Parts: sequence; structure tokens; C-alpha cells
Amino acid sequence: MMRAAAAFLTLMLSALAGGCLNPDFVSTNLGGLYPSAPGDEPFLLVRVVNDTTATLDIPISFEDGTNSLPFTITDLTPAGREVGVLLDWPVTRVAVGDLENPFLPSVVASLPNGINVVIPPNQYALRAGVDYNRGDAIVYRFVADARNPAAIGVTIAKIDGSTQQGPFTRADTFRTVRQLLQLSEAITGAATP
Amino acid sequence: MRRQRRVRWFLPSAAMTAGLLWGAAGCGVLNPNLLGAVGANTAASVVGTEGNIAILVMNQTPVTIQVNLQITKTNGGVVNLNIPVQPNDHEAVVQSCEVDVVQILQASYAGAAGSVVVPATVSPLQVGLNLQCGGVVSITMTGAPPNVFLAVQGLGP
Repeated sequence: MMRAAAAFLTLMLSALAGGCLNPDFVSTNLGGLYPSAPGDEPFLLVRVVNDTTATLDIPISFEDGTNSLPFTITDLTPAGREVGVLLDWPVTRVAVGDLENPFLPSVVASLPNGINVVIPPNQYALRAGVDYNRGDAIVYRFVADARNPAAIGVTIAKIDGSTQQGPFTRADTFRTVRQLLQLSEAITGAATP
Repeated sequence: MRRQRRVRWFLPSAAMTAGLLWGAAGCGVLNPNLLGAVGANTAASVVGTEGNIAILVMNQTPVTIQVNLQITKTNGGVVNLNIPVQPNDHEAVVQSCEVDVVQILQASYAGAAGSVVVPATVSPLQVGLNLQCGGVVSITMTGAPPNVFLAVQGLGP
């Protein structure tokens, strides 16, 4: 009976290694189909999620070590829900709103009743090496929050890039992006991350 | 004697394994591609919910460009993105795979007298057709004013 069990286990492991199992089934039980964060690629993914009833304009501010750079996501509706920005590493600091002052009203919320309010994110800028590292994904989630005058608050989560280093069964989107940038560099001479 | 015992163990275990795999095929455990290879139903498509689609805008011109695009989600939600890119630079946005269509609405560059629209008709990229979960939409602008060109490609996994 032990041998039968061993034979069965060997066959199942072979099936796993050979890609015989349904990727959806593997994803549910083992993960590893697609990366959720850049992992070993030289990026930081900053994703914003709108789980409110308002339409949001969200400025993402970040520093690359020398310059402070903005990227604004406009008109993110509750149905549109989420969008991410892939930033070249290094990113020394990142924030929604202002890098220096988290209490500065900077996120525009168009409420369902037609009123527009500008709200502060109330979250300090995150710092490289302290709050995140190369290859991580930062998720800013906008939610209903009764403690805030505009009833909208921000929570922050992180996906650790060291858990997303593959290999991946289906596709590594971030590796494809890096390869395309390297190809572009070969054509233009522009620096890639 | 020893060989007889081996055969006695092998046959039931092989039958049990075959039975379990046959059962697994019916509840989605086996890869549909594998089933297709052995002649079973290949209709099941694999679109993961945990993957991403990246949209990479590469500016290979000496002037600032802007690309306006619309992403339609599978729930009907729409995300409009206006992506400005500095000369010889790039920007990348990422969406989860709950995307139905990616459409380039307009591409323009900064000309001497203001914004100049690049005349181009780009077919929408439909997920499952010419774009897959895990893929990258590559948008490249090349040349120098007044000859600026737009190229759009959906690169699948």
C-alpha cells in the first residue's frame, strides 16, 4: 500500500512539474501563475484602489533620488476601481498627495451628490529601505471612513517582492516590460532601470 | 515471488491513479491544454484573476508626447488615462486582468505652435483576442517633428 501511495505521489508531482494541472487550480492552491509585484525586476509598483462611491483624482508623488516627480490619476470611478503605476527603481520616497505634508488636501473626490471635495490623504510618505524595497508593490486603498470629514480614508498595504520572484507558469509582465525597455535603450541610448 | 508481489501492487495503484486523474479532469484540476492535446474539450480558456496587463508608453522622439487611452473593465467600468512622457523617456501603468478592451484615443506631441495630434487609427486591443492576461501593450512614438509616428502592439505571454 505504501508503494501505491508513493507511485501516486510521484505521478502527481510529475504532473505538477510538467504543467498538466489546470493553471486556475494551481493558482488557487499554490500560486505562481502571475507575479503580483515586480519581484526581482527593477521596479516599484504603486497601485491605487477606489473602494468608495466617489470619483477620485489621485496625485502620486515620488522621488528618484534627485527629483520629485508627479503622476496624476484622474477620474478613477468606483467601477474603474484600480490602476497602478510602474516606477523605475530607485524610488526613494513615494506618497499619494504631497511628499512633505500628508495633511495637505490633494485628492479630489467627486461625491455622488455632485459635490467636489479636496481631501488630505493623512498618510506620511513611504521610504525605501524602511517601508518598501525594490520589487515590492504598494497598494493605496481609498475606503469609506467616518472619521474623516469627507468620509474617505486611505489605507496602505504592501506585497513583498521577495515572494514574487518566480518562475511563473503563465507570464511575468514585469520582465516583459524590462525587456522592452532594454530594447528601446538599444535603439535610443536612453537609460533603463 | 518478488516480481509477482510487484505486479500485484502495481496494477491496483495504476488503476487508482488513472481513476483519480480521470475524475480530476471533470472538476477542473487538469490543464485544459493537456486535455486538448489528448483530444478532450479545449473550450475552457484560462484568464487568471491575479495577473496584470501593463501599458508601456515609450517616447523615442526629442519632444514631449501625450497618449490618451481608455480601458474598459469587464464590469463595464472605464478608466481614462492621459499619459505624458518626456523626450526619450517612458511611463508604464498596470491594470489587473479584469480588463476587456484597451483603446488608444489619441496620441500627440508638443509642437512649436502647441499640441499636434499624430494621425493614426489604432484598432482596440481586446483581451482574449489580441491581448492576453499577463501581456504588455507597447506604445511607441518615434521620429522627430513634423514626422512623428505611432506604433501600438499587444504582446502576449
